[in-house]
Amino acid sequence: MRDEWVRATLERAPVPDERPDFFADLWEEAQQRERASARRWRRTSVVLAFVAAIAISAAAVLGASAPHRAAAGVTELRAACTAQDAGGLPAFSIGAKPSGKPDPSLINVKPPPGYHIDPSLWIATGSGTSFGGGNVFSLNTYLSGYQIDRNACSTTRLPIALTRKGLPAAGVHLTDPNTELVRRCLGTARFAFRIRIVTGKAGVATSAKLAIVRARTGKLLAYYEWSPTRVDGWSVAACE
Amino acid sequence: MISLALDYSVPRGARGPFPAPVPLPVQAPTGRQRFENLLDRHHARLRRVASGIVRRPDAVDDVLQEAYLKAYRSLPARFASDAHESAWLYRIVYHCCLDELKRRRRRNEVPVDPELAAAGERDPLDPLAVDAALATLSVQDRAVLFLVDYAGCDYDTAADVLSVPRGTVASRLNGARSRFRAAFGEPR
Repeated sequence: MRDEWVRATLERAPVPDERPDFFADLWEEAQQRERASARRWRRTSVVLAFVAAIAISAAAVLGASAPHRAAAGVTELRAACTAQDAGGLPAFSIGAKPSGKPDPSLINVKPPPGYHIDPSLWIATGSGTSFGGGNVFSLNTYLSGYQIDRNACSTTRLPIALTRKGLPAAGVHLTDPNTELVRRCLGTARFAFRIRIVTGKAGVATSAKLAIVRARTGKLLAYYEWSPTRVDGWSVAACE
Repeated sequence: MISLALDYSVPRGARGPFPAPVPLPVQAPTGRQRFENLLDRHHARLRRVASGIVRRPDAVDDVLQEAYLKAYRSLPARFASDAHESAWLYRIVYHCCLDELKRRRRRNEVPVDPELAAAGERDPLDPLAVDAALATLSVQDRAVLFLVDYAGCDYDTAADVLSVPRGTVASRLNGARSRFRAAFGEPR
């Protein structure tokens, strides 16, 4: 509740006259501060963009598609991946080819910029092909280790047997280096795979066994055995 | 027999052969326009409040300019209510007044004219006497008096501006009114 006597008295308190340019000064100062703020933001954004570019490069090197270097021996990997859509349906492909024994002088020789080595065994999602687009996993006979897209795939503990048990007995067997076995599975949004890679002295894959299952049910969809000179593959009828 | 009916009716909203009038798009006010409207409503009262709290004529313009610049920079897209708008703006001005008083204290300035602050009966109709009476009050007393009794803020808004509980506003206001009246020799 207001005290009217106090209000009336306070209204008689002296108030200094306003400077004639009070508002002109105010808006000029506001504009100056806005310009200074914009300059600061520009400087900050340049620095942040630079830091982000470094972070993205580092992430790409460490995670998304960096080749995992492996020593001689056996490497096992289990991962669950999300399939991208192709034509409105989630889709992924498993491909392998008997690319032939590599030239020892070219092993672990980094290809020049703009070139890449075709994978010998790969998994691609969406409308990806063996030539790099959409590969979530790949290995080849020239570079040690394997590549996995950690943005699409994460490590899983799902039990996956490395066997073709449960698949149709009829398989595809290839030895011609000019052929490849590709199976495309539609309608499975999330799949998991287990791969066992045997590597040689240079860390390059010499053979691999790959089983792919539907992540939700664990149902085996395809099983591949790969080596530089031979590919054997089995798959369910749904993967063509 | 088949009859063909041609529809020559005028589209809804149209008058005669002329197309329907298209309403002009209403342009949303810019940040500056909104802020100028805000100042139109509050500037005069804010000036008196700042002047009463700071009590130094040459500092009032600077205090208000600093407060307005801060407010303009952080102007919200909308306010929940008029009380919210007032509380927000008065709070910024109040804090700028406190900053000015702190600066003055650091510079060892004497806040009160001893002659004016001398006790005695004053005429409440005399502006200088009112100023002298205000000089006898603390900053908190002056702030609560101007917010509630002059600007007409309710207790909740004043509590929001001063960042104190509502009960503190009530008790502080009671004491401030008594002291202010006493400075004029008025009964408490």
